[in-house]
Formats: sequence, C-alpha cells, structure tokens
Amino acid sequence: MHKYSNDFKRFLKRFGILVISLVILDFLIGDILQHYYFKQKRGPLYRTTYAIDSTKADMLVFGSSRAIHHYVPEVFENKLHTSFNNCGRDACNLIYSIAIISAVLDRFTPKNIVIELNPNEFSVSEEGKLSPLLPYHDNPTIHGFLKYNSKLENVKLLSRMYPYNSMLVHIIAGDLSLAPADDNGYMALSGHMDYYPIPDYKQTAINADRIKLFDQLLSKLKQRNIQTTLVISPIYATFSEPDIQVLEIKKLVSKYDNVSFFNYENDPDYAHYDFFKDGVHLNQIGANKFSEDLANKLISRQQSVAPKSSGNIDGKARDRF
Amino acid sequence: MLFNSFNFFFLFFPIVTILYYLLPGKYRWIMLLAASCFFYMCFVPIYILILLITILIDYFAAIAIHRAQGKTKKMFLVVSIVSTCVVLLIFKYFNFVNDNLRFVANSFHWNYSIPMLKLLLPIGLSFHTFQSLSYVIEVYRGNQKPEPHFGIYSLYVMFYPQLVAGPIERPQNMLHQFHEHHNFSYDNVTQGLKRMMWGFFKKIVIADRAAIYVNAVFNNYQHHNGTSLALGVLLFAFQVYCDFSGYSDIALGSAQVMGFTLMTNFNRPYFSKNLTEFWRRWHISLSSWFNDYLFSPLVVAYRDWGKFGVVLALMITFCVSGLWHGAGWTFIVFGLFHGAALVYDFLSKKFRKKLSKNTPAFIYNGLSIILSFAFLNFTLVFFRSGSFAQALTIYQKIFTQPGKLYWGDYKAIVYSAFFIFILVTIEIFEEYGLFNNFSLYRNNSWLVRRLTYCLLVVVIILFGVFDGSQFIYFQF
Repeated sequence: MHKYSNDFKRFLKRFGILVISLVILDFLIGDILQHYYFKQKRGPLYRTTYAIDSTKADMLVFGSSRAIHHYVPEVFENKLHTSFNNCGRDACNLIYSIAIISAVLDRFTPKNIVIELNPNEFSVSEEGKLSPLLPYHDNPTIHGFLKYNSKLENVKLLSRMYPYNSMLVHIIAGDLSLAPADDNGYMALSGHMDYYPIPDYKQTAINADRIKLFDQLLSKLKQRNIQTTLVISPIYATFSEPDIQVLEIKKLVSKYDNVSFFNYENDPDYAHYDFFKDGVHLNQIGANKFSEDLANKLISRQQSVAPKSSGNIDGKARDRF
Repeated sequence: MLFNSFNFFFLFFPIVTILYYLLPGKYRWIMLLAASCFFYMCFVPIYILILLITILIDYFAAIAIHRAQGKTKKMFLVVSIVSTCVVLLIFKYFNFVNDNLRFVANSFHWNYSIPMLKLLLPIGLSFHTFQSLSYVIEVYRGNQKPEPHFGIYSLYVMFYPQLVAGPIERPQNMLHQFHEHHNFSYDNVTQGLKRMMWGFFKKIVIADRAAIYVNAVFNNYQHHNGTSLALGVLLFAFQVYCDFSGYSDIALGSAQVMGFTLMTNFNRPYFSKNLTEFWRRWHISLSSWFNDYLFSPLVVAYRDWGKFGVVLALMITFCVSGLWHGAGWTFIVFGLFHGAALVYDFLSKKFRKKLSKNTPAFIYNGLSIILSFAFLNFTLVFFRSGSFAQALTIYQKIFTQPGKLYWGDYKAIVYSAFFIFILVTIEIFEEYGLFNNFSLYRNNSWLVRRLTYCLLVVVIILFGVFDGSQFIYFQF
C-alpha cells in the first residue's frame, strides 16, 4: 500500500511541475505570438486587424473569399467618389462578417456597407470556423460572437497560445512582408476556369438563428442610418427555383428602407467561363465587370429621389434568366 | 464521444480514471461498464441495444458451447456466429447487396422492388462483432473458459478504450485483466499518458491537417490535375496511418493509465519491405484475427491443393478483409490488390531471397520499402474513393495529366509536410535504433524528457486542428 501511495505522491508532484511549466510556457509563447500578430503589416490577418482597428473608409465590403476577389476598390472609388476598403476574409461566413461589422460600428459609422452573401450563407455551419476572430477575444464585441465557434470557447481561451492556433506561418509571412500584396483588401485572380459548372445548386435548411442574428445587424445598421447593400455576386452554377435563401433575404430587406439587395444568381450576363477563375470566384475580368455593374446600381440608388417605403430588391438579372 | 474531443480529454477520461482508482476493486467493473455504456451512447444512444443483443447471444452461446459435445457444440457455435453476423449484415451489408441485386435485375429488365434500408451504421460495429466472434471461437476451441460473470463479459465487449475502433482483443488477453486488481502505478500512468499525447499529436496535428488537403482534392477530383491528386494520395497515406495509429495510441494509453494492457496495433508499418510484412505491422489486431480465424483454417482446409490452396486462402482472406473495411466494390478491389501482393510475396519468396543476397542490403531494403509504400499508395486510391469511376478517373489523371500543384490554403501542405517529416524522422530513429536508440521522449535526461512533453503539448495547441473530426476507422 505504501508503494502505491508513494507512486501517487510522486505522480502528483511531477504532474504538478509539468502543468506549471506548461502554464508559464503558454503565457510566454502566447504573448510573443500576440506581439507579432499585431505587428503585421500585410496579409489576411493584418487586413482583419486593420478592419477592426483602423479603417475609416466610407464604403466597406464584408464577406468571404468572394468578397476579397469580386470587389475592385478602384472601380468603386472612381465611380462613387468614396474611400473604399475590402474587409472580406477567406473561408469566413456570415457570423464572422457580423462580428467584424459590429466591431467597426463601435469605432465609427461608415456611409456604405456592402455585405457579400454566399448562396448557402444561412445554412452552412460556422462552428469551428470563427477562429480568425480569436486573436481579438479581448474586444468585448468580438468576444460575444465566439460562443458560435464552440460552446467551450471561453475555457479554451484560458490558453494564451490557443487564439493563434494554425497561424504561425501567416504571422511570419505577415511580419516579413512575404504575404501576397493586396489592393485595399482586394486580391485579383488571374486565369479562367477549365471545367464545367456545378449543374444545380440546391439549398439546404435555413438556420433560423442565423436569420435572427442578421436581422439584428440590419436593425443596428438602420439605427445608424448606414446605406446597406446585400449582394449575392455571380456564381457559375444554376440555382433551383425558388431559392429559399433569396426568399428569406427578400423578407428581411422589405423591413428596412436603408437596405438594398442585388442578386446575381442565374444572371445570364455572367454565364461565361471567361469571367470565372473557378465555379465560385470571378477572375479579374469578371470582377471588373461585376464591380462596374454594382457601382452603377449603387449610383442609381443614390440618385433615386423618392424616399422608399421599403428596401430595394433587384431581381432584374435573375428575372431575365 | 470522440477521443479528440474536449469532453473526452478534460472530463470523461480524468473522471473515469479517478473514480476507477478511488473505488474498491470489486466495484470497479460496474463503474467501467457504466462509463463505457455512456461513452457508446454519446453517438447514437438506441444502438446500445444492438450491442446488448450481441452480448447476450454470445454470452449464453459460449456457456452452451462449453457444456455441449460433438455436433451440438458445433451447432451452438454456428448459431452464435450467424446471429452475431446477421446484425453486421443488416446494418453494414444489406444495402450493398441489395444495390447489386437491383443492378443485376435492371440489367435483365426484371422487376425488383426491395427497398434500401435507411439505417445509420452503428459506430465500430465491425470491431465489436469481431471481438465477440473471437470469444465464442476461442471457447469452442477450448482455449478459453466461458466467462461466468455477465457484467465482466459485457465489459470485455464494451471496454471504452477499444469499443469503437479496436484493438480487436482476444479473450485470453483481456478477460483475466478485468478480474485483477490494478493498483495505481506511476509507470503505468505516466507511460499511458505519454502514449495518449503521442496519439493526439498524430491525430490532431498530422491526420486532421493532412485531411484538409486530402478532402479538398478528393472531394473535387474532377477539377484537379494529376500532380495535386498524387500529393493528395500521398498525404492520405499519412492521414490514415496517423488517424488510426493515433486512435490506437490513445486507446492503449487510456487503458494503460488504469493498468490494462491492450495489444499493440501498429508497428511502424511504412518501413515494411513487402506487403506481407506490412500486414504484420498494420492493424495487427485485425490481421492476426483474420490469420487465426480465416486464413489458417482455410489453409488447413485446402492443404491438399498445395501452393494453390495457400493462394486461394490468401485471396479469400483479403477479399473478406476488404469487405470488412467497407461495403463497397472499391474496398473489395483494395483487398484483392493486397491479396495479389501477398500471393506475389508467397510465390517469389525464393527469388527475393536470392536477390537480396546478391544486392547490397541498403539498396535492397531501401528499394523494397519504397516499392511497398508506393504499392500501398496505389491501392489507397480505391480505399479513399467513393466509387469505382472516381478511382479510375484519379488513376487516369495521376498518370496522364500532370500540372501545376493546387496549394489551397498553403498552411495545410506546409504544416503537414513539416510534421510528417518529424514523424518519419522519429520513426527512423526507433526503427533502426540510431544513435544508441536516441529518443527525446524516452531520454535519460529528465530535463530533455520534460521539455519534450512540454513541446509536444505546445505543438498540439499551436498546430492542431480542433474541428473534432471523426476517426476514419469509426465508419467500419
């Protein structure tokens, strides 16, 4: 019995030392990573920090990789005579955008916000996909959204290294300016797709909580009197009719007179592979065409004199299809 | 509950282990059984009834087998095997057989209207079915006395570390351990925990990271060129190895912490010099199961046929082994490829022995390892593909359509390559005992050992993929 008791004491002592060493190491490495994370001057991580902490542009675009590659700053700046920043982030979805927009609104009020929506924005699960927000967990607004990443996020955040999980290569690239350069967040794609499109794009069930969250954001944007544009930019696929997500968006838009919706699903003007890098991303040619087109629509909206009783819904492209 | 989940590592495992050591010996099996039931019910709760049925059948069948003589004894064995396998057949193979019958019927324009079953495959069904089968067969053979204690027998089938993906244990190795009293042992606990950490590293840092690239190319194989697909196959080889051996390490480690010894399931299989050796090092508990209960009896049955009997036994065994992995033609072809490789090994034994004598060892061994690994990669295309057509398209692209490598999010390739390099380096040291069996993990210096443990935890936190992805072998 004595031996087992000694074994147990020995284990507790050494395990304790190991845990203490790990805590110290976690603090040290976490703080070093935090320092270098926020020191970046280039790359996707820097763009997120810039969007949350620094941008003062009048027009901001939010969304996923489709936002990054589809909205050409130069076109919007020249046509709308406004400052522009693309705040999109690869592989991120609606909750990420809502979190960043909310953080931006804590700091200043932009004049125009464009939210690029993926065709499955309200059905795709975002659990585990909000890790790009983790380095900003000290920001109370951002912190409120981390529960959507996982239920135990607050426990995991006891580790100071955890927020920088899988980011080391990006941090090094961002600090050494090795990350690819961008133009106000926009990154052009060259080349065009060389395969056939996805034949049919079917929506799965819509997440009601996501709709509610988005509605709350739109309400906040309305209170701040920010012109808001929701866009489903071109995609090389055909969509089942009726698209249940589009119906939901139309319902939301009809509640707010500051919100417009432009839907490019099934738009015949973009039904050509020359405009696409792949099935879901426009190449530079397509992005320029789309940006020009959207900018013209935004000008038309600005010029419309009569006040609206409800939101604008542009289904022209779709109706023509 | 998944081993790589927060709930397992920070709640379930410590609570069960602490309770295990706090409870008096005679009550431990109750706690372990309850914990194992809870563990299993975290997947699909109702499926515990399937396990219960299997346990009941085999528990009473074993007692009946032990008491009976002659033909009655054999009859009880057959009844037990058939009833156990029926569950497996319904849940795993019914739709596959049905689908093929429908295809044949349609080809001949016959009426065929048996509907497909919409059933979710109970997790780890093939594993605990095989473990139950090994029990009744061993009792039949007289190598094991039937376990009189129903609770202990249930625990033999349901012991949570090996419940859902093995190792597929034998009763001679396991049952007596549930009757023994395990005192807290510093060595067992620390070695078990170290083994678990190594398993987590393989699963979370390598397998799940490689999976990001593998899934990206395999799920969109039509859009990728041969170069990207070839890299996808290579990464899949490491993914599946790290996924399954990582699982086994966590299983062995968590059992060892409580003083149980499970059989080793992997022994650096990618250093095998031929496919026969590979199957002695890969999923050892399954290979030895097939060897004991299928291949050896077949060889005995075909002993009059000479070499042809062995060839036939090999092909049948590997065909069944392929089918064990999944109900699909791709898995059968995977098995047949391996069966053919073992037939080649068997028939070319003398020639290879002669060749090895006339060739410098490092060239012969090196080439043998590379060729065996290349062959394995070739067959893994079938293992990973969802259909025959997909597998053939991937082969066609790999051999005829080279092109620019798809990087995707480049960190998937960068991190995978780096940590695979670390893994291979460590395994080379272990395999060949380089530098006097140098090991950071088992270093003589306590400081080096402690630093290594810390580094491993840091690597897991910084480079792990915490998306709670399943283990590949759970689906079998």
